[in-house]
Amino acid sequence: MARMKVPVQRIPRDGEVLIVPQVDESITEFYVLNVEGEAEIEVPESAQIEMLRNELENLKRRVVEIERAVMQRATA
Amino acid sequence: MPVRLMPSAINAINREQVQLWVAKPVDFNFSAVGESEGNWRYVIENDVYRLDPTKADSYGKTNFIDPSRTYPFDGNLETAGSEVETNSTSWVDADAGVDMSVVGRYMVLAKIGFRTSSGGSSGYVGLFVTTNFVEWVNVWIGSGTSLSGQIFYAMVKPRNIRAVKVMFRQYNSSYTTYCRTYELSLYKV
Repeated sequence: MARMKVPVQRIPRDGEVLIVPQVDESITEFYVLNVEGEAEIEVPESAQIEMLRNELENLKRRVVEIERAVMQRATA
Repeated sequence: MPVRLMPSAINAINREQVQLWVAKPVDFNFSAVGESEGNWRYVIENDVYRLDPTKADSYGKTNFIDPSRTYPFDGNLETAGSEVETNSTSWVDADAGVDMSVVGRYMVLAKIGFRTSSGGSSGYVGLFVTTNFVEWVNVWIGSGTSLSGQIFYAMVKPRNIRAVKVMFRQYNSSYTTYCRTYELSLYKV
């Protein structure tokens, strides 16, 4: 599992305070190991697989976009 | 109080390893958590463990989010009530919460059903723990865009807590997040 440190947000709500790590939207699941100023989180392997797959798909799309741009310039 | 560990393999348990795990609750890698034959099932460093949900210290306790919803503490991993829903982008209570009355170290296992109304907008579900019912610390979050529904299994072992509740939210208020807690088990360790 991958570990990282992220900022923490304190959210007042109905007399309560929610202490929530601020994590990139691409991380679909994580556990909080420690909260001291910032939070140390751990991303399970299953979520890492999904993140890497999404990243791979984004990279494939980017490659196609660049290839098209290069082709267009070459044929112009 | 002894840890209720039931390794499925003869050589699965290692006393030294278990003691280390108890001493350093976050310092281990578990590769999977799920269920098998009505029991919680999880793997820590290739050792498979099973826990009976009816032996949980939270078994039969009152659901302080909604006392009429007894299924998160009925010891049955298959039972769940109607879904609760929200389009709030802020965290709101879902359908399960338990007060153990005593602050201590608990192992928390959860099975939560989850879906969203749009594949393009994520929903989030989380476990929050507290010692004083004022500060609630988020210890686990799952998110997704499943329209048909998915099951999250989570396992956390906070050092000092008194209560746990399930909360959820939606990324975009134009859409809805649905969830229902099948089981929420706390084991004193």
